[in-house]
Amino acid sequence: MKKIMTSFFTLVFLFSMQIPSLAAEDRPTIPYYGVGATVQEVVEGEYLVKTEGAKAEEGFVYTPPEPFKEKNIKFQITLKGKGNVILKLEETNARGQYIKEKKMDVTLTEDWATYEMTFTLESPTSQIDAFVLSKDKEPAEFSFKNIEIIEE
Amino acid sequence: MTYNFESVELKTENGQIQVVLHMKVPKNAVNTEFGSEFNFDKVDHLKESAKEFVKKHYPKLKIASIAIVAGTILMTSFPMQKAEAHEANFNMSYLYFGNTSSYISQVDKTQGNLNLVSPSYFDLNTDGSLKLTSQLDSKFVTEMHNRGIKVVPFLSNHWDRTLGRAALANREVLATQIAESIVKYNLDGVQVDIENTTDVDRAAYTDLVRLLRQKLPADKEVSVAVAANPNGWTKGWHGSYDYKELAKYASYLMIMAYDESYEGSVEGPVASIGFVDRSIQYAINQGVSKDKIVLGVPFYGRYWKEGAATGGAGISNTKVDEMIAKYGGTVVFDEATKSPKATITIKSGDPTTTVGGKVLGAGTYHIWFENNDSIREKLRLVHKYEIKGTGSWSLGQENASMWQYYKTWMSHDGVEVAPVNPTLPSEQTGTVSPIETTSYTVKSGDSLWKIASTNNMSISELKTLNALTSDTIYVGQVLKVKSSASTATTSPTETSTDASASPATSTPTTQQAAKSKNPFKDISSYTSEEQQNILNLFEKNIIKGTSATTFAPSEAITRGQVVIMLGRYLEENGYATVPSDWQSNLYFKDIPVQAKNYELLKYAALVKASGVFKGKGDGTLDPSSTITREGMALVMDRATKTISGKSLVEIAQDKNATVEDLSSASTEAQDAIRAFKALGITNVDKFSPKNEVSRVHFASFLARGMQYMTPDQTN
Repeated sequence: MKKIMTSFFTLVFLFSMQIPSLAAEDRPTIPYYGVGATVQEVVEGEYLVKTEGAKAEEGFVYTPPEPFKEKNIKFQITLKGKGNVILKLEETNARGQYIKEKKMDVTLTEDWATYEMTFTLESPTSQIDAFVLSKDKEPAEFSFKNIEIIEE
Repeated sequence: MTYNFESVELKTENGQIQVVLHMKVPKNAVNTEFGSEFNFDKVDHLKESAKEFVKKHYPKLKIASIAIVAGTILMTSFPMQKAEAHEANFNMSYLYFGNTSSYISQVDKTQGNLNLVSPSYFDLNTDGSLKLTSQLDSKFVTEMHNRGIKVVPFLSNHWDRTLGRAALANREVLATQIAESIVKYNLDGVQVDIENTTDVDRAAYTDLVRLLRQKLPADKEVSVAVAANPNGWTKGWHGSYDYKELAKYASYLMIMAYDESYEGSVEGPVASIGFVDRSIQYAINQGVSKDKIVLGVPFYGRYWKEGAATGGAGISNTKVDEMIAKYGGTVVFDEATKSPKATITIKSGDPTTTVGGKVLGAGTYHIWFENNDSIREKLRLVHKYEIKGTGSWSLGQENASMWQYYKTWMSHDGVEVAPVNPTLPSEQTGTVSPIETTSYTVKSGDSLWKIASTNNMSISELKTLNALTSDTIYVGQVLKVKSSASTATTSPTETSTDASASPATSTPTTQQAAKSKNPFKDISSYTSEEQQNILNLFEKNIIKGTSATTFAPSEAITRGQVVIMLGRYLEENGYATVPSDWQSNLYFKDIPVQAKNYELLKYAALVKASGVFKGKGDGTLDPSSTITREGMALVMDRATKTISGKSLVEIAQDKNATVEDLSSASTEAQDAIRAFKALGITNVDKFSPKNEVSRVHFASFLARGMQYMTPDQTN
């Protein structure tokens, strides 16, 4: 009985230690942020996006963390779902000033499919936001994985 | 409360009459000659008293403005008719480079101009939760509150867009964490400074500010640092700020009206006047109330090297001044942008300069920066648009001479008064030659003092020129010293007799020709020696006068004034150091560490620790009481001992002297008085030990005594 109680207290102790460590800054953070939508990791590396439908062009945004070396880049992503979405790249300069954007319409399928969109930066010092957005003003759901911004 | 104005000056500026009222400093008050405090709460009463005084005494004069001066401190200046001009008295500044100690020092150099400081205490974890920085220090908060300055940390994502978005996504939790920390650490609010998010984050950004307002106690501030938007951009970073909606929840919006040119951009000003003007207009046009608009002013510049592929890295205004002094160059004020541009050439073999960790190599640099003229132009816009006040990035990067004018610039946009502390460092403009140097090899028996004085330099100048971090030098060490070409010519000064402080041999001090023009209008009736002594001490920053234009020579000098004058002399020349605990240890019972006269607090600690002042029997300094002649003799005797290792008494031990009324002096002071006579610091037969000392006579006594206040060369 003493051994059982000891194990029990050990488990309680370990559990109590786990909670703050999970809540602290070490917790992995999803680098995809909802735009009028929620972004949820359903299995490792696969994310589900649910838009509110309050307006068109809801979805998520991703900003690659590293600066570019080249001007020519390619946005590549694997998607599945229903209906139409928009792939969008938006360039801002080093001081955050909007430069330009490029969009591409995509009709989703029930199976995973990979899409690409090329883009030429005004300067390698620019920043890029990559979006996948709903085309219409209505609630939408789609999944994505393997998002990449590739320098060419 | 009724205020006493003891003297009045009428000045004409730009064809308008200004009245300068000199206030009598209450005897029981901390002496304001040496203070830098400015109590905003009392200003309204003071203004009313001043207006009544002026109306009563000059009923027929059409007066544009009134300036009130107490000691050397410009208390306030304002238009006679309130409707004539807008007045702003809100100034905040960011604290980013430094630590608690340096922050306090930076704040204290602002001469009471700041109401609020914003340190970098709130960062973000990658999950968007609050991260308290290691800079957070309750001592700093207490120190600022003691000075009547609010502490509102800024919440920063350090330009990391993803981190900013994490914060916005986590805003409910983040706002709660910030509110709890503000209460826990007795902070006065938060300034949201999340930058580089975009228009897709606009609603979430506003909602974070709404949540903060909701969760913070009503007496705590929520403000927002917003991107300047002179072109009305709606996308990118600029689109993330919904000015009108943010202003509903924020106490004010601080417009970051800088970085018009930036790292990687083409060469140009950091904040041209047009850029700043349009940025304010944008805020107003968005529907933000004018009393919620604060204009951000840069205290830095950016530099571009000729021939380099890119440029625009940041450089502090103080570093620009340092480079101009070191290398020479030109400063041209561009009228179109109201911005100064320095052109500096570093030659191969010149001493190096490091900016932001980068050593600047040989080449020609174009530096757009800010100086008093450009900042003054920006502050005119505060009045033009009648907005709340100013913010600045960041404290410590500015040329300190600016603060002596700042209050005047903020008070109104009309007639301006002379600076209150004309001895503070001034700016360099036009074509500036570098300090010419030559080499000197240290010999046996040399000291820093000896080398400095031989080359007409101060010890601090010598140390700065050679980047010396200690007072230790070595035989054979090669030091840079001013070349003779850049050394001021010296000539003997005539000595003359006066009734109370009789002639002495000319001293090293009086032999130096005063380089500065005489700013004091009330010393012309005194002897040439007395005037020269005053001006030499003024030149050395030991005395500052009772205003920009008066010395009050006939006034009795107080104990507090003597403490500060001797303290400045001892510290400036490296003869004694201010104890590190001067802000925490009680050196005199009546100079609490919370005292707002920091110069008195600092030098009281120095003179006590160095044994120059012992204080009264009850442990007080009694700074506002006048010092007696015997008291003065005693402290000068001790100061000499501190500096040279020998007191005046020891120096004069082999010399005979007779003082008729010596028996009326305290036993403790008799030897010092006799030494005064023996060494020619005085030559009157009756010393009158219990009498007060006038300010002009103290200047003479000190100037004469300084010839013995030199480090012992035999050591």
